[in-house]
Amino acid sequence: MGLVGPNGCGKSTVLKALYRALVPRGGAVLVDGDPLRGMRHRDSAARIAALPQEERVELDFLVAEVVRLGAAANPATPREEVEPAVQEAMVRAGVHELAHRSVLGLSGGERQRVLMARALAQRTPYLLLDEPTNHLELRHQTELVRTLRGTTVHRPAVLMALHDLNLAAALCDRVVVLAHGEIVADEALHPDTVERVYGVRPVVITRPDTGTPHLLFPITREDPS
Amino acid sequence: MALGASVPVAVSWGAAPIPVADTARFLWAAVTGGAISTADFTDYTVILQLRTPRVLLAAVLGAGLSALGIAAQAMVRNPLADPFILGISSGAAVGASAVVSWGLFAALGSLALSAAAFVGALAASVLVYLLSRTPGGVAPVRLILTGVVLSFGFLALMSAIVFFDARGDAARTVMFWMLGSLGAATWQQLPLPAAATALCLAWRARDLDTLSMGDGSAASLGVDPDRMRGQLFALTVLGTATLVSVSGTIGFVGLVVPHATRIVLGPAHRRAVLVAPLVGALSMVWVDLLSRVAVPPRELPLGVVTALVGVPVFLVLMRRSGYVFGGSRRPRARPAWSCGRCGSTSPGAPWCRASRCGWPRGTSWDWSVPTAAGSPPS
Repeated sequence: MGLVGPNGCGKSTVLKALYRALVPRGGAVLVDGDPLRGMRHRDSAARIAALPQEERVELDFLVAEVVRLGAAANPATPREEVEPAVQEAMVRAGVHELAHRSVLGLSGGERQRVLMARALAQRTPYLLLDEPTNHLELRHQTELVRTLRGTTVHRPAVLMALHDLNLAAALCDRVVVLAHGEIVADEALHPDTVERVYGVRPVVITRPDTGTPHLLFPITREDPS
Repeated sequence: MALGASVPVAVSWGAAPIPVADTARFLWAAVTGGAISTADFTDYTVILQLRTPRVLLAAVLGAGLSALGIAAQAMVRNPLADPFILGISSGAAVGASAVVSWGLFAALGSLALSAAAFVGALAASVLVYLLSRTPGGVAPVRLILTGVVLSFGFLALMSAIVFFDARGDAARTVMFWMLGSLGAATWQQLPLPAAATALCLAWRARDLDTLSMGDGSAASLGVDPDRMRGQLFALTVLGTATLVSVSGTIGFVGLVVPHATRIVLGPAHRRAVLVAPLVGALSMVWVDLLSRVAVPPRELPLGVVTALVGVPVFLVLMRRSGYVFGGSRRPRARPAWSCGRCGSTSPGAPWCRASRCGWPRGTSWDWSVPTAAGSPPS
C-alpha cells in the first residue's frame, strides 16, 4: 500500500503515529484490533518495523551491529535466530559487503539501505517505509523494488510514503492520496486526482516495456505567465 | 589488574612515603587480623585510617562518575554531556554555600555540607527536568539548554550568597569544595550507588544502543525513548547527587573517560559500561595520588589535576583515531592502491609490496626514469 501526496500533507505524520515516534492527540491506532496506546514498545516492535526518514546515527557502530539491533528488537525472534536474520536482511538489502564498515563512513544511499536491512531483520508482519527510495541511485531503486516484492510474500502489509507516483502505481496494490491531512482518494491513481491534488496536469503515456500507463509531467522552460 | 596493582602503590605513596612492601604487609595484617610491631604503629594508622579509605573512595568516585557520564551522554544523545549537565553541580554549590554562609542544616553537624549539596543537586535537576518538559516528552536539546541556562542562574545565586556573606572566607571554602576533594570523606556508603549505576546500565546496554539510533528509530525498535530518558534521568540525578554530596564536583572524569573508552573499544554500550568504570577508577586513583605528591605538603585540588592530565591525554587519543563521537576500535581501512611504477596492487601498505619495487604510495609516476614530457610510463 502506498501513501502519496504533496509536501506537508501528512504522509510522514501518519507513519510516525504508526511506528510510535508520535502519539496522536486524538483518535486511536489499532494494530490487528489492539490499540497501540498502552501497548509495550517491546510488543509493538514484534509487529511493526519502520524505516524512518532522515535519522542520524551519531555513534560509530558497524553496519552489522545496527542491523542486529533490528533483529534483536523483536522479542518473538529466538536468540539463535538473531544472527541468521541479520545475515539474511543484509543480503536482501544489499549491504552484506558493508557489514564491517562503520555507519558514519557510509554514503546517504548506503545508510538508507542499512536502515532498510535493520527494518527487514526485525521480521515483523507490518513494514512501514518513509520515502524508501531517498538517496538511492537507479540500480538500488530497482533492487529495492525487487526486495519489497520478495518481502510481501510473507507479510500482510507494507505501507510506504512515496513521492514517485509511477513507482507507487507499479509497486502498490492500493494507493492512498493524502492532501491537507485528509484522504482524497483511495483507489487506482487517476490523472484527474493528481491534477486536483498537485495542481499539475500529467500526460499519460503507455510504457513501451510493460504496456502499463505512465504519468509524465510537463517541463517548461518558459515563464508560465 | 592494573587497578589491583595501583591501589597498594597509591596507598603507600604520599606526603610521607611508606615502602610498598610494608604497605602490603599492613593491609594483609588488617584483612587477616594479623599482628604488627609497635614500631610500625604510626605508619599502620596512616595507611589504614587515612590513605586506604581515601584511595578506595577515589576508585569508587572515578567508577561512578564514568558510568554516570555514559548515562548522561546516552540520555541527551550529546557528546558534550557529563554527569553535571542537568544543573546538578551548580545546584549542589548553592546548597553548599547556603551551609557555609547561613549555617543551614547546622543540626546535622559535619554532615550538613553533604546533606545540603545533595538536596540542592536534587532540587536543581528536578527543576531542570520539569521546565524542559513538553506535552510531547522531553527533547534532549531542550534538556541541555535548560540545564545550561539554569546552571548560570544557580551559580549567580551561589555567588550572591557568598558575596553578601559577613565573613571573608566563605568564597574560598565554597571554591575549594567545588573543585572537588577527597580529604574529609568516608567511602563505605559509596560502592553501592556506583555499582548499582554500572549494573543498571549493563542490564539495559542494548536499549542504550537503540536509543542512540534516534528517537523515531528507538520507538520502532521497541524502546520508548521518553520512558528510557526518564529512567536515565533518575539514575543520573540520584547517582551524581550522591557522589557530589561526598566529594564536591570533580569535573572532567565523567566527560572524558566514556569517550576514551569508546575510542579504544568502539561504541557498543555493552562493553563501554563495564570497562569505563574500571578505567575511571584507575585514573582517579592516580589523579588523587598526583594531587597529594605533586607539591607536598599541600594538596592540589582534584579538578585541577584531572584537567591538567586529562586534556593532553584525551587530545592525543582523539587525534590518533580520527574520533567523531563513538570512537573506533578499528583502524580506518586504507584503500588498496596501484603502484605508479610497476602497476601492482598493494592493499594498505605505504609502499609497493611487489618484489624489488618498493615505490612509495601516492607517487603517480616514476621521477627517476626520464620520460617524454611528464607522461606517465605504461
